[in-house]
Amino acid sequence: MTHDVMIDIQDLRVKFGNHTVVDGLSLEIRRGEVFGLLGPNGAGKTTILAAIQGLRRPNAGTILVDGLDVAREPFAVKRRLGVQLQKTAFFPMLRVKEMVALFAALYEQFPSPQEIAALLARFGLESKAEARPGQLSGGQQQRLALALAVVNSPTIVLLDEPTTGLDPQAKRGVWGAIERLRDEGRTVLLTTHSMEEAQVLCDRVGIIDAGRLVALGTPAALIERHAPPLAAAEAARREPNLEDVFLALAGRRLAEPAEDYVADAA
Amino acid sequence: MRRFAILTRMFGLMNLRDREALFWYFVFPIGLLLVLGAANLGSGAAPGVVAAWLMAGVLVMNIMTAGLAGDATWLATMRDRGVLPRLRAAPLPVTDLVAAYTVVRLGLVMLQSALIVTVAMVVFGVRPGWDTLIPAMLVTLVGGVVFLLLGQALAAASPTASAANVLSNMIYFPLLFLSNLVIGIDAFPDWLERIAQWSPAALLVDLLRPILTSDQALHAVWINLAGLLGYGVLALLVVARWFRWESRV
Repeated sequence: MTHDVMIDIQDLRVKFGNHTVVDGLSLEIRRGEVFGLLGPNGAGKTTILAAIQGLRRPNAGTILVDGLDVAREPFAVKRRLGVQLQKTAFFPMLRVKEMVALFAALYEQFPSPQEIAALLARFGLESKAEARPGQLSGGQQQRLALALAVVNSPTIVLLDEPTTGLDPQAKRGVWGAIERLRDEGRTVLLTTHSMEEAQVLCDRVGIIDAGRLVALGTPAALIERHAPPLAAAEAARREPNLEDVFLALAGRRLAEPAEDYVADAA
Repeated sequence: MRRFAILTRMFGLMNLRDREALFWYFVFPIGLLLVLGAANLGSGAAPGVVAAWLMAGVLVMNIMTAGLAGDATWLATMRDRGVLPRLRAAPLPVTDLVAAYTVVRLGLVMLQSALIVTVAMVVFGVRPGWDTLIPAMLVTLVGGVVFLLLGQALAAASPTASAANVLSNMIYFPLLFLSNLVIGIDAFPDWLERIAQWSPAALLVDLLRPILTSDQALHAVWINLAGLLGYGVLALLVVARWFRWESRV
């Protein structure tokens, strides 16, 4: 593994019972890039993130995070990772600033009130320090989840569908926060089933279908390589996009779940 | 140590800010003690004697509420909301998490117990000495641990928080009425009495009540302790077999 590869996945295989959720995935995520795992529900994206975090034991394959084997050094790996899960996981009875203090403590970090305020300000939540999660909008909750994901100053941030369910304005707010993570030099691995999100945010995209990596490259390169030419009328209305790439490679749209979809593999 | 202190403080805040839980932990048991104690004032028995008998039952009821209703539902809810998986993603030893949670929950049980005893002393003139209070506190702690484990077992065995809630209610209410807590077990038919005296709540109150009153225990101390230990071990086995960090939904 070269020094610039932050996550190195080799021949990863994960099964739930007899169902193969991740099937021989090999992938390298480079330092400082925003990498998107793009695929429909049930493609195995969340399972891949869980395996990187050491929360799902693979049936085969290896994962190195910043050179550390996830299977051998799970705690060292967890210290390097910032995590935002698909469900925004908050304690409803705690205030925002208390939640930051709690999550920081999980990583044995103890920020001062000023440092907590500064972190919240970075994510546009400075006025919400005293609020409880239930008093935040959907976009604010996602930005809080992002703030909690970087509370340990991680080199790598894993984001599981960070904008699902958000309105366009809130979505742009979260995208801005993710772009700032890249500007700070962090490596970001996110999952999404939004081709728009992948195109806007990601330096490179891996298209996942039925647990397999079916294409890999920059959004522009993937479109150039795989998107079929548009009919004249349609070409007048829009540019080819990653949805066209997925349709060409998988034979269906991103919004359609994998044929053998199982909820756990979402 | 600092991490443990913050975890403990935050778990404490979560508990103290939960108004519904506070009602069940503080208002309900103390209200029940006041109502039943007042209802027995004209029964001819010395008020302090009846109140001490009731106090022991309400103390056990409170321990049971904290474990079966509080812990089971809370743990399953946190799992459903994705909080447990998020905690698992952090480099936090499970032992630290469990220790902080246990300290807070047992601390709350002891605080509730102290309040119940105080109300019984102030309102009904119950006068337990230190020679009875200290062993009673130890028994309360033992009961708190056993019912905390039973609550965890219920959460582990339930697929969702709703299921945990239903399951805990299905167990809690029969135990509340059949375990010699606030209704004497001798009011039941023989066959029911023979079964009911082996419930965890009945075993616990059979340990606690003879310490706080002049009542005779149904069983020897070691039998009650062994029974509670048995329930605790059973609960641990269920937790070990079925505990999940993630929701099934």
